[in-house]
Amino acid sequence: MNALNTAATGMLAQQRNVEVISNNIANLNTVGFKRQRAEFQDLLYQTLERPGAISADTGTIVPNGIQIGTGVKTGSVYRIVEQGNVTATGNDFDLAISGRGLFRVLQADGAEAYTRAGNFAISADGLIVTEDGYEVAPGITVPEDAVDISISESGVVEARIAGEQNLRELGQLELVTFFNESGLEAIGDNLLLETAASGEPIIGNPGDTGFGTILQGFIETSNVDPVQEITALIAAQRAYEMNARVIETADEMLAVNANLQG
Amino acid sequence: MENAITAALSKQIVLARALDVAANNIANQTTAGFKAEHASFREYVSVIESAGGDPTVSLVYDADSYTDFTPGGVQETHAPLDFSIDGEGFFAVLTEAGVRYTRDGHFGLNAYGELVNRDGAAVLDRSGAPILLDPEAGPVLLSPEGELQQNGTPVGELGVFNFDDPRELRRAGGNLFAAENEGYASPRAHLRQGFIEISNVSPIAAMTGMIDIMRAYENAAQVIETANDLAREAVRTLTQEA
Repeated sequence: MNALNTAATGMLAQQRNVEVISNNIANLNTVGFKRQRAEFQDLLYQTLERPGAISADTGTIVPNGIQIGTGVKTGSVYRIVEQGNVTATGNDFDLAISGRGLFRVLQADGAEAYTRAGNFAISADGLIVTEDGYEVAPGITVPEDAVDISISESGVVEARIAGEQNLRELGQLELVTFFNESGLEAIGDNLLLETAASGEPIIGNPGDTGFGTILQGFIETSNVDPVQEITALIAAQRAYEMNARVIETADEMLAVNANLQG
Repeated sequence: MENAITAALSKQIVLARALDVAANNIANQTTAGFKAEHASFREYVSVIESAGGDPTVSLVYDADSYTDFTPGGVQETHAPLDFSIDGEGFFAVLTEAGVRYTRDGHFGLNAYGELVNRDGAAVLDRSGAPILLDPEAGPVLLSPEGELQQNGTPVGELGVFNFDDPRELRRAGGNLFAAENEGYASPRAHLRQGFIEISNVSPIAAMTGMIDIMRAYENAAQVIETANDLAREAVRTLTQEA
């Protein structure tokens, strides 16, 4: 009886589904987090061909055999890059992107990574860095005597220096977009990496065509909708139980025959 | 007596297979674009030589399984390369084994900018050619009729294919169907972007169906047991009289 194995694949798939959903729920309050979704595929089919079988009453030939599926597997888990909500924090270095685009950051080894989490800070050298201390490209240094930092919608960083009348321009923040943002690879710490599926990064300034704008003093919250996740969790749990019932039924059917009184 | 046991046994074999089919439906209740499979049973009458009494015995066998092609619901995913078809039709993808058809519209891009499914098979346009997108030309928009646009410029047309008789489609795994004859481009397709078609398996119907299978299986076992009892009874009665 195939049903036992088939149902086991179903239970595995739902287990994976629950893992993805629980990761979404766990990251409900993670800045810039994009929720994920598990996708499933049916497995190979066993075709029990009965070529030329004749149905007794009409004499017609049955064209198809019976096709029996062998279950399900997890095809892919992909990110849904929908805009999250924007919350005011009042912090000068909290930047939210409204629209498309990601910040480009340089990891410790110099490799590029991308993030939507704009909760930045200043390093000891005055560089604008992520909360893990990675440089936000292109490195912008804030002078020590800067009193006030202002970052415009188009990403121009300006500082008011003590004793100076005019704002001093410090640099221009860049954004990158990807043709297929869902194809980026997550490496944790809110960072994403380029892959063959995502395409090459396209660098531009905030506010350019196809790029979002920057909101200073705001952060983008995760786009996880708790209600949706909880409903999905309930559905996944029920689906798991149903697959378990299939195993139970298959087992009972085997027991019926095993207990036949000869 | 043997006939009763054979008939009941044929029923049990068929029911065990029906459970396999039901198990696959239940396992795939969250598979995008999945279409439920059902086994159909037939009566197989075999004539037996006998001087009197019942000259035939009815056996059951499962000659066929059929696919329920009714559309599943749609779920919004907001992914720009997720598409769903309203109404009839299939997307076509070019696999190594040839053109395959699917209702699962979760697509992505390969390194050449071709629209592909998750296994890397190119998604075909109306004329059966791969669809090439320009990764630098900005977001992709889909018109309900299936035209893909980037920056307001048409870049391709997502193909939707129909079959006069969807029964000729065979399951190929990986959410794909194989067809003996190629489908024809649908004249009136209606598509959605950012949506995925969910499985059309009704979990409740599948569960009740499974309970039915179970009960029928037990009934068949009962027939076998009754036939055995009769045989035992006959042996006892006859040996007593002798």
